[in-house]
Amino acid sequence: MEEDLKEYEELKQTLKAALKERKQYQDDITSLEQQIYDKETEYFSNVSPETGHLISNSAHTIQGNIIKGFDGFSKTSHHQSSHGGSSNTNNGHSSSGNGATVVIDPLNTGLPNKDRIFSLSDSDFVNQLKQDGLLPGLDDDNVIESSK
Amino acid sequence: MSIVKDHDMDGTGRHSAGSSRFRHRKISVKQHLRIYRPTDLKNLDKQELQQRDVVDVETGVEKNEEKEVHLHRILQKGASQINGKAKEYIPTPDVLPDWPEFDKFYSNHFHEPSTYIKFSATVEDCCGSNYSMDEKDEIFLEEQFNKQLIEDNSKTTTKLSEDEFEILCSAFENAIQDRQPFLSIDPESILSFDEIKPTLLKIDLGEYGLRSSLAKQLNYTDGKRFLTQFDPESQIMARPLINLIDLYGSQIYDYWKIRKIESNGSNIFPTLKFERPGEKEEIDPYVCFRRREVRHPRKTRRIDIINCQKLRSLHKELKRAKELALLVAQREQTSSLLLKKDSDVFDDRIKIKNLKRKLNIRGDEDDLINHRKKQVTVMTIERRRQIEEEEILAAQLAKEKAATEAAELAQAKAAATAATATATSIGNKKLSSKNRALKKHLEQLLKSGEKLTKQQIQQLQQLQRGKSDISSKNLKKEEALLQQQQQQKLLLLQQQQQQQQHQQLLLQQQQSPSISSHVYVKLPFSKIPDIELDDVDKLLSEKEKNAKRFVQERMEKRKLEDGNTFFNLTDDPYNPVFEMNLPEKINSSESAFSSIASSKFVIDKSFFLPNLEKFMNGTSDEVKIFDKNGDRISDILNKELKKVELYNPFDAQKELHSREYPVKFRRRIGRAGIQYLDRKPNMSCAEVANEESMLNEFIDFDAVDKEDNDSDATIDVYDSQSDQLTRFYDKWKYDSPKTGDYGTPFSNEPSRLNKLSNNTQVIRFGTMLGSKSYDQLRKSTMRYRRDYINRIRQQRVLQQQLQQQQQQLLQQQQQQQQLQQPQSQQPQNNQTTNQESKPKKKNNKSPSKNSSTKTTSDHIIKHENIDTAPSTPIPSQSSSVPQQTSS
Repeated sequence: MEEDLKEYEELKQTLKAALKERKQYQDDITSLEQQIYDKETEYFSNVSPETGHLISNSAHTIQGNIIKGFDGFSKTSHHQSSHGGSSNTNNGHSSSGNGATVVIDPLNTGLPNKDRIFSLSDSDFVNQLKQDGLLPGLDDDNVIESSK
Repeated sequence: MSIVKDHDMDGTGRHSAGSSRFRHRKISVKQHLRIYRPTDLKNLDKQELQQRDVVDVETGVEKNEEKEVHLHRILQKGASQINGKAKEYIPTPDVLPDWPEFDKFYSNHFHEPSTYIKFSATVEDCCGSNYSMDEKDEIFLEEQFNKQLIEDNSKTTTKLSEDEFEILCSAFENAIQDRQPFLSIDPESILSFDEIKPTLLKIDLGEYGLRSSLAKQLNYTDGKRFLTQFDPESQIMARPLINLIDLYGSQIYDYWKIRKIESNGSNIFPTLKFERPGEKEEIDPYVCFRRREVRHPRKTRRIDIINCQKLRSLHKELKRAKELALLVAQREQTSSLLLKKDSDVFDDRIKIKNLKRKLNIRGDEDDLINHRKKQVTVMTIERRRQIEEEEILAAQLAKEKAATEAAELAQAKAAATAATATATSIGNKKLSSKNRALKKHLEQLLKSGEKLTKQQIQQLQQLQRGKSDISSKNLKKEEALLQQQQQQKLLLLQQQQQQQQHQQLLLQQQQSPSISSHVYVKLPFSKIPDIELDDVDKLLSEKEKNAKRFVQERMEKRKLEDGNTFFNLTDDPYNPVFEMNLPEKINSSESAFSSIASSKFVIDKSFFLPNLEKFMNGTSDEVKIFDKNGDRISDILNKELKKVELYNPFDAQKELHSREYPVKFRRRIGRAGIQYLDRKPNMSCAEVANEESMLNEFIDFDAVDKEDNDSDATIDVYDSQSDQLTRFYDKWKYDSPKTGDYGTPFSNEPSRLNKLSNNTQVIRFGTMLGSKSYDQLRKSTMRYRRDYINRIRQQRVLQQQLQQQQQQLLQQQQQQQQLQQPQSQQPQNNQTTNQESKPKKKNNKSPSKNSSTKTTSDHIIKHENIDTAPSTPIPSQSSSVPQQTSS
């Protein structure tokens, strides 16, 4: 009986510790998700998610990324208009390319939510987007696939 | 008749060899073309003709390969080959018609997806090591090596798998390629295992290091090798290379070395042959993929830099992508840990629950259930935006709320003050019930009740003050005391009022932030050129007028200074007088005509003659003559002048062109050899003279003059002659498509205004804007100042009121004191008021600004009005008024 009681107390302690650890993990995950989201925005659209400002040397970085491919780099012409057709998704890019720091509409970053391949690899994020009604293009099968 | 080219006939002899190719040459005039008659055609060598035809067609096969027997035969047959039934082929070895083991290797069924297959890993990445075992290797591995391995230490060691063998072999291959790239020259010189080992380790360390660093970055501490899904199955199953080298390296290497030497130092496992960069191996038929001939891009500094930049940005790009991928991996790692933890927690809970049941413990269930936590979500752009909007809305709401509250507060206060005012007035009414007129007035005020404005309240106070004065005369001490209390109340009330006013001022300031100077004005586009632009013509004429006036003034001044003592030559510079004679040799009768224009004259003397024109006209006899040095000549008039010609350059009618004679001459010999000299007017000169007459055909100059003269008459728009003239003029000036005479045509002018640089235009335009904004600035500062002055004035008024009240209080107290001493009432009263007025003067002097005096005067006038109103019923009260005004 007393042993059981002791064991019970011990177990309670371990459970507490485990719960604490679990919470830590959860916090880590949320912070990571946020980090991924922000960096992703920055990477694909060259728009800083905090301020909505274009990051200065966007002219170079816009030549290609892992979604659009790096065709822009092999082209001799240095203008970004040359690779406008390489992807069907960059609607806002051409309009926002020339200024150093131009405040643009944060919703017009030219980065549709379905292009956020990094964030979309997380099922939580997919669910969140669905709740917000921001993910019209994807049906459930696709979501499950991408979340795996 | 047919014509056959004969250009090869003069060559080295055609058809001497089958290989000699038929070359197209242009038909030229210099070469003979043999003409065959129809009869000749029969005799022509058929073979000859045909062969030529065949060779004429490009075969599309390499020149050397045309000689191949089968192909040659096919080519020779030509068109008949294509049309004929029995076709010839180049024989090729038979292929296996069926591969019995196909199903063994390709067992999976392939489902064609609806989308494109995306795959970024290369074939080499997927198929593991580059080395594939052959039969010999298999025999060695199974029969010799593994057997021996088992024999040596029977239990512990595992067999070397085929994949591991291949990994080792490819590692050897890479290392040798690295250390001895030209091994094929001398295969026997291959390095020993000990020599090659560091290279092996180094190469592997690269890969291993990459993996371990990745694992470290991900906190991957599973003890197992860090592998990804992209790693081929063989890699996943195999042991890491480092261990393999340590374990079996030397033995396998010995075997591999032998095989390498057998194959003469080249690859044991056949690989595709590629063109080596930099060298062209056109001869080697086994080169698999050849480089296309591309025009090499010019290497310039700029391109270098661009490429450098591209490389750098590509590097950055990839780095960022990698960072993101790492983050994702970390997230997955953490979430897997989380899942594990979840299951742990679940297990623990089960145990605890069981124990609790056993021990019969109740409560304390807090840790046993999952608390529903509010979902922490990623802050997406959309959400952030939404939140911002909400915040803005909230801020607006708060602002509105505050505003309404303030308004309510102000209202309440106003009501309160009004109430107190009415209350006090009611009290007063009781006290001074005897005074009918005052009562009436008060009642009037009371009627207006709620609408008591500030001014009215002030009036009220004044009344009260006045009334208290009277009552002080009539009533006794106790009442006076009461009044004092009332006065204090009044003071309080006023203070309240002041506060209120302050608040209102503050509110005003808040409400009108636009007053604070707005210098930089953003104009809508439609408004920008609001300033009246000056006409160039106007400007120029203005300038000319000014210049003329300036010159005229100067001239007049000088003339005045000169008086009659000096004669200024520059006054009339156009009219030097020349005394001319024909040169001595020339007889005057011989010379053709006499005119200045003939330029055969000799100028004896030149001098200046003011007022020459008058003299010529006969209006003046007074002529002074000066020589070129300015000395006066007196004797000139005595000489007899043959003819005086006056040339007035401003008289256009008398214009002379010295290049041309006004008359033309023609000499002709008539009958009996008589010479005639015909004279006729020079038409070109006449034309110049008659220019206007020519123009008269088009324009009625008289009408123009007439119109110009009576400027009062209204201009008939439809046939105004002067208007027509100007239009003609403009047309002549501008309506010309040609360049040259009148400047470049309009269409060729640069689009930029006046060829000014953009910067200058910007500056110009900017100044226009500047003047506009200056206007606005001035306005806003004026407004600001006015407001400021008003504010100050109001403050002053309030101060003054306070002062006055205090003084009046003092006065009243003194009066009350005087009341206590009823003797000598009047004189003392006057005295005290006089005394009181003194400190006031001082007070007013101290602020010496203009505005302050102004305000005070304003204020005083106001008070006069107020004071005079009640003064009629109580004349004694108004005694203080003139004193105040004097201050």
